[in-house]
Amino acid sequence: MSSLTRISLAVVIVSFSTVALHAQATDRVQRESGIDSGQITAVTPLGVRISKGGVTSKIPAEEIESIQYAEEPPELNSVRTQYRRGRYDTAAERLQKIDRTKVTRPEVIQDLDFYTAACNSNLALAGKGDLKKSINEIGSFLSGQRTSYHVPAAIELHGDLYRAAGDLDLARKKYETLAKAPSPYYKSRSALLIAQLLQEQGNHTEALAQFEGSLLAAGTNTLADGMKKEATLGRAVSLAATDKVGEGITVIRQVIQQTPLNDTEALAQGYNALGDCLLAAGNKRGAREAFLHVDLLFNVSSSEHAKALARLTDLWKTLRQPTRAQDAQQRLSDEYPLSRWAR
Amino acid sequence: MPRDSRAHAGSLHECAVLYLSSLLAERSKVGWKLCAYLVVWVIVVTTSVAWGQDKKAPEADIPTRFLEKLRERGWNDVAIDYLEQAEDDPLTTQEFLADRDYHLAVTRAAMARQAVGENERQNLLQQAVEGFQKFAKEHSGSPQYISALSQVGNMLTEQALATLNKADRLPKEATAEQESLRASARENIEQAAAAVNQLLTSIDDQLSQLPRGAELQADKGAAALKQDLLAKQAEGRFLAANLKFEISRAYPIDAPERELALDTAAASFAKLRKDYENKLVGFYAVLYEGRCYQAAGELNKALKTFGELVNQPVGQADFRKLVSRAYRYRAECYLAEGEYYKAIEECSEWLNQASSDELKQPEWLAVEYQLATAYSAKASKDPGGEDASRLRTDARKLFREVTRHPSEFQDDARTALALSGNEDSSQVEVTGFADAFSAGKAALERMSSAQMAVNLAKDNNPEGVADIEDQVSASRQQAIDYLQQALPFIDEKISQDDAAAARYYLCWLYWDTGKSQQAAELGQLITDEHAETQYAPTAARVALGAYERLYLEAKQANAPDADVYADKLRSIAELIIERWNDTEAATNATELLISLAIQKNEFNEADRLLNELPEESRGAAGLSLGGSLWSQYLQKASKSPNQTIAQIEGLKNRAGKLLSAGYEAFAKSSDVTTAQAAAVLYYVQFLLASGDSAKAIEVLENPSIGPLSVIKRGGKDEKGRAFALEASKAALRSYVSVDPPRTDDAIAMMEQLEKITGDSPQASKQLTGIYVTLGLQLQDQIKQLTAAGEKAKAAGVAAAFSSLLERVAQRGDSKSWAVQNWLAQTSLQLGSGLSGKDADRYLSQAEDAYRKILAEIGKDPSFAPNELAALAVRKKLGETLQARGKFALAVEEYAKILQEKPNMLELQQDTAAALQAWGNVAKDQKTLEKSIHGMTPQANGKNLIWGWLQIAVVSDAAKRQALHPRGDTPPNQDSADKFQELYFAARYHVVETRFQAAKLSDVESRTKQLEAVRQNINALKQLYPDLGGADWQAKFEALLKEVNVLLKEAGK
Repeated sequence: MSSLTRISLAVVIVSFSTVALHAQATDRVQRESGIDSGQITAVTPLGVRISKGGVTSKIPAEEIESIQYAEEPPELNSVRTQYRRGRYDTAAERLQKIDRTKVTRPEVIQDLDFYTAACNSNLALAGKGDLKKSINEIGSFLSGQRTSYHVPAAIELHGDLYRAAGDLDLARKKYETLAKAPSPYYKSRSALLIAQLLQEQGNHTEALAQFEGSLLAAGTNTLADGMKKEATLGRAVSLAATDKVGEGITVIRQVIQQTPLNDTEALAQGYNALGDCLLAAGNKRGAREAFLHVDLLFNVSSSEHAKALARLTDLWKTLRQPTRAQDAQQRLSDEYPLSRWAR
Repeated sequence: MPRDSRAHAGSLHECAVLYLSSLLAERSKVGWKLCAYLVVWVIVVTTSVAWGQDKKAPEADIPTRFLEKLRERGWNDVAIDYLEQAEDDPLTTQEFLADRDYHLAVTRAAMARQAVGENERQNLLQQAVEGFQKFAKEHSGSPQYISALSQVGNMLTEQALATLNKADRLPKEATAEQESLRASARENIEQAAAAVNQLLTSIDDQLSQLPRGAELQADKGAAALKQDLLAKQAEGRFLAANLKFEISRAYPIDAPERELALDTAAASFAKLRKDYENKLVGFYAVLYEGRCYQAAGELNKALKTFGELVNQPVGQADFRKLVSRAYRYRAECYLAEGEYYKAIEECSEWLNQASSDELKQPEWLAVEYQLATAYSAKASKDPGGEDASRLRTDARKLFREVTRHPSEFQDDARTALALSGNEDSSQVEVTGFADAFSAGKAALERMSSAQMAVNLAKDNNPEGVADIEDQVSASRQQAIDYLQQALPFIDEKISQDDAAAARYYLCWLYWDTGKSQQAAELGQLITDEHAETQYAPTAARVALGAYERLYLEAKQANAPDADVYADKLRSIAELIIERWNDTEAATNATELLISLAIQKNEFNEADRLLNELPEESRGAAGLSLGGSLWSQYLQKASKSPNQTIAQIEGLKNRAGKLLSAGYEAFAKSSDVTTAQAAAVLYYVQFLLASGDSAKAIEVLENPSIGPLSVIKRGGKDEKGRAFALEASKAALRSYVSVDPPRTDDAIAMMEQLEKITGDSPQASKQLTGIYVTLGLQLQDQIKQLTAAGEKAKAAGVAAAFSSLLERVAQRGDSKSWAVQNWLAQTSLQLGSGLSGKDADRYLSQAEDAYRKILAEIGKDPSFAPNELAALAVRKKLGETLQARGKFALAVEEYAKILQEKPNMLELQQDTAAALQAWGNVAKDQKTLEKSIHGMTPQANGKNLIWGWLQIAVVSDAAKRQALHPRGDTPPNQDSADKFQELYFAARYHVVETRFQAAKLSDVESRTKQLEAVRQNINALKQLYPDLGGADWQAKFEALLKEVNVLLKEAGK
């Protein structure tokens, strides 16, 4: 059992036990730093207000991993768990089993709407659903549930859907919308997504500026550490693609060397970026070895592993190793059938 | 895959590959001998701690873990790539990099064990050994040090045994080759022994540094280390003793060194058995001690020693194997002594005690084989005996049993069956893949056995050879039929290995039977669909070979599909390079691509590919590419003489560099292919063109690959003849033009050329053509030497060249117009380039030659191709006479021409010059005057010979005519320039001749003439201030200066 699965299961067990204890009375906000319990008094796209013992505090949207509402249907929490694990089909199935007629609390309805649209969207992104339909569905959510704290996530998904549908201008517009939030986190996130979009289009010069903008906006916000690393690595890949291979590789090497050896997800991101960099430089064998690091050693993060397998599938083909290519392709399909890399 | 079936497939596979030219040497028997050695090794090793695989560090670093993962997947190729660039991994460590050579060697050793081709396997093993040796030398303090040394010991021993087995397989007559292989094996064993000794010394050192007594008891780590070291010591000592035993095989049977080696080995094993009494190592030492006695022919001693094992109580599985081996060796001893019944009795008894599982194991199969041999021998001893038939039946039954399972004696048993002529080849009903594949393999095995039996029968039963060869053909066809039936059954349920094996065997059989298309397609399929199997690299090579064969056939037949095959060939070659880029196969594929690129004149691509080859492999391809570039250079130089030197000089230089590097890489080789020999000859041509005759001779005479050596052992076909011809031409030119020339060798080479071309009229004409061409080349060389002021060298070359001239002159076809002219012209040019007697010798030859031509024309005017040609000969005679100082005769010859062509301006010029030279030599003012004013008045009052003045007048008029032509003719500036040049030349000669005449005159007349010269020059200056350009102006001014000096002396 992978360490991530163990952690997730632990969370689930804790969650179930707490639901049992507080199901009737308390709302619970899951943050990276822990759980805040109390009464949710207000929900906006920028966050929620929670009141406990007469003390009200604000929790920004970017800090919220999930909210478990009092009196919500018991199946909803398992939907969230499946969603977090990337099991969108299972999550969607469980959502269908929930009797919505019995749900009255607006925040819970918002959650149900969001997860329904988000599951369908992610399935569509993995090639298992209709992109256009999902674009409309997310659009409906955004217009119908304007106060949900899921709005930033929905906007990002909207952008992802347009991106997958090939409408890159609209995708960019959606990502740009994120920057309108009065939060450095979302400004940084917006720049990062735009940079990745540009990178995908091969516009590395502009991508570089966006990556740098993302890093600048993130500042010293520790919540944005992961994003900063992503931006740093993304920037390095674009540097490599703009004839600054040496600089790009140096940056990535530094990132990898500074990453603790037990942070396998970050190492996977680093080696994948290194692989992209080396690919941009035409060094196929070097790229193959970088992606193999992810495949053979740092394969805990599903998205990074899926990416590495996708890259390896192509590389093995280029290197005239059809059996190895087939093996990588097969594992990608078997292990990450819903990943966008498996499309 | 179960061990047995894999070994079986491997054995069969090796057997099949055997026939692929040099791809693989046979492994079956060899493999089992090696296996026997390794089995002992493993058993000995497992009595303690496995070495070579130190305990894995609990927390290996990332690069080590990555490497392990790659190895787990069998991706040794990627592991090698990774190790070579390991410093690029951000998480690499200094410790990992320090052990890099060790890891590389371990990976190469693993690759060697995966390799199918014996050559490739040996290359990789060699690289691995070198890697371990290098590591051990540089890292004596490393934890991997002992492991590296043990690997060196093991691998060198393995190599030595393979070499010895190769030597054993050679025919008896090949004693020199056998000795060479044995010497190589001895060297390996000695190196292995050195590594093992080094290892034992290191272990002793480490043991001596460990705490003792209570202190050791208290230190668990030290105690464990001691155990580990003691185990390694036991292993090392066993290996050291075994090396002494194995080296005995590296000497001829009666050599004293062999006897000594066996004595030493027996003593070492005896000590081991004592030191490790009642331990498995000790019992194995007993077995090997017995083997030493057996090998030394001390059979009673051997039987007694093996008997110690046979008499031990048996129970434990490993120990039973050891005892089984003792029975086998005892049986061998009995058979050697002719005591068949004892062998039969003991073997039967031991086999009766065996379980059914044991009977399939190699140790018991060996006993079964001995028993079968004993039955067979007993039957042969008394062929008419009442038991003979039963014994033969029992023997066959046992042999057949032995053929069914992999063991050292599997092939021998097959051969025995094949020789008995009772092989079971009945038809098998095919209902699926398994039946067909199994029947196909069985047929292939029968074929292999029959092939071995053919070799044996050639010595022992020559009249049976034809029958056994029929068996080979029949089994081959059966194998093809069954495997063809197996293929359609392949689906996802069939294992990759079996599917690949079935396809591979059929692929090879197709190749072997000349079905190139089928072999190529199947080879390609295996490469694509079974890329990870051991068959893929060899299948790719078969596909490469098959497509090459198809391509060459199509090309030779000018078939349109040649291009298709070329594309397929290129594609499979690229795949091999990409996928197995560090192998010999990739090098061969790259060479093939280079050759294809050369054929398509894609020289830049060929050059690029050449640089991708490992440096040590560039020789052959470089030679080939260099030869092609040289050939291209020659074509360009001959077809486009107007092309600037710079344009083709680069081509020549590049060709030269490649040829030179290619030659140096091959200079010490023992042999070359036809194409390589041709490229070496191109190199000689390049050297000659560059004036380096000495080096050209060195290359020509290289005893192994020099063209002259190649001629001696070369073919008698048309290609061989053409090569010999070109090589002899190059040699002749080299011997003639080297400093000092090697005349005797040149003459010998001419004789060789005459022998090669034959004596038909056509051949004679060809040879003359060769000499003429060669003469022209030598003339150029003499000219260049003369121009460079190296007159002595020029004379040397000319002297050697005279042999050639004489040779041509003696030839029957030398009366032809072209040859006569060439002889005369060459002689004239040689003479003109020299001075004194050297010159006159050639000029005299030239005069004779020209006179002979004119005499021929006199007899038969049609001898000359046209009238002008005849006049040209006369002119040349005039030049020759003039060069010899026979001015009167020269002028006479010129005059004869002028009688017919009085307006030949060039000839008038030559005649005036002849008169001027004559006047100077004779110090005759009158003749000088004639050169100015002309001579021999004609009826029209004009002189036949014009003299310089008239020449000037005519030239001036002609210049004006060229500039202002009549009618619509456009002005011709070039022509005008030419006439102006002639005008000033003539004017200069006028004043020069006057000046020369003045110097011959008395004082008074001299002054007048000198003043006339000055006036003449000044008048000309007024008319033409630049005096016809810088060159002429300088000449006129210099002359004027001399005139003024003389006039000043005369007080003017």
